[in-house]
Amino acid sequence: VIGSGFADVLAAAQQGDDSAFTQLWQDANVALVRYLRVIAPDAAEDIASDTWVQVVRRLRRFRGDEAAWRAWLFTTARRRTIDQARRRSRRPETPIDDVPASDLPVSADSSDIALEHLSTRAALALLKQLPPVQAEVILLRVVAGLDTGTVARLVGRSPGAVRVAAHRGLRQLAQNVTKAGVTL
Amino acid sequence: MTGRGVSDSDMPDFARSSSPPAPGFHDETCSALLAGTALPADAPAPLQHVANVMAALRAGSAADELAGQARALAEFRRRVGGSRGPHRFRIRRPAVLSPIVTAVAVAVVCLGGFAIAGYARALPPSAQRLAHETIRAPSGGDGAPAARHPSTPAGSGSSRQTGSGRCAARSHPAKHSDARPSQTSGRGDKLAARPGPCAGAHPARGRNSASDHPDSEPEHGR
Repeated sequence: VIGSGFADVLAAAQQGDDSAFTQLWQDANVALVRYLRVIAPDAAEDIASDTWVQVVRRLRRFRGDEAAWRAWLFTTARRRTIDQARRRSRRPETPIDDVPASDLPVSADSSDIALEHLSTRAALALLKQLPPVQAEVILLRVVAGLDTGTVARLVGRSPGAVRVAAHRGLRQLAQNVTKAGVTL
Repeated sequence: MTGRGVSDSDMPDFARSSSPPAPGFHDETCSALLAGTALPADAPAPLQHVANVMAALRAGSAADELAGQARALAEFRRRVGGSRGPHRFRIRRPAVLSPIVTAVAVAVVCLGGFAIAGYARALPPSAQRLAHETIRAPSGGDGAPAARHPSTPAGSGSSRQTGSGRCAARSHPAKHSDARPSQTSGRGDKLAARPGPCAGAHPARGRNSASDHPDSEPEHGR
């Protein structure tokens, strides 16, 4: 969260300042990717990238504080996720087993991932075990830093329903952690 | 539905959850977990576990979570960056100029079509008359030239002159002034006796035009 200097950073970014936009991006992209890794695990990075492209196109016209900025960003990401799911349902992808090994892209070795962030991945894996609505509400509250009313508008539910979903998700999460004996 | 006299033991028991509720999960503690505030030291173990999960979700960024910065920055530079100064106007210019360009293009097309139709004599009489007066297009139907050129016979000479696409009245000004009612092509005497509308345009040639050949070629546009 940028805090009190957000208005200046946003204004500078809207004027074309690279460093200001980089600050906005670095502040929000981590939360965005973590959110997307739970609600769209197969295409999180792609959707995050598309989300930023969409945001950049309309950056000049944005007016609001930091909470509105984050709400706009995550709303855009959520819509892109829904669009992606619709596209995939219309055009089913070929299972990777049918693709020759020589055509598969080469990715970085898993050892390149920093070990100190393993706990974040474990936490995200725990959230994936929750019902989708509960996981999304918890992520928007905790990772995106949005309040209950904003989350309710974003997911199209009442604030009471969002509060109940979050509390149920936390209880379920506690049970899952206790059962699995996960230590982060 | 049963009546009011049913005992409590007969009422169905709807179990809300198959698992026992986790201890310590009140509204206050849930709000604290979501907000990231510290739990009391004597909080139950499940609460501590969930607090650890929440803290892990808020942890610092990993390298793979910052992988898309180059593309985002490139898009930013293309869309927003470098917008100070002339580049901003370069972006906005099409939005401002496009209606003007469109209007000019439409006007050119309309005027061109009007001119082409005028020279092809495909316009309605009033529009043809306007084209004739503005862009020297041929005058309208067969009756109109005869009225303007009362001295011109209604035979082949008249048709040649009007058919040539030029204003016969200006090339034969004397015929307007020396018009005789008997040579009109069926119009009334008053109209035929009046000088043509172009009679004053050629004062020097007004008198000696009786010998002008009625079939001479028009001069306009040469």
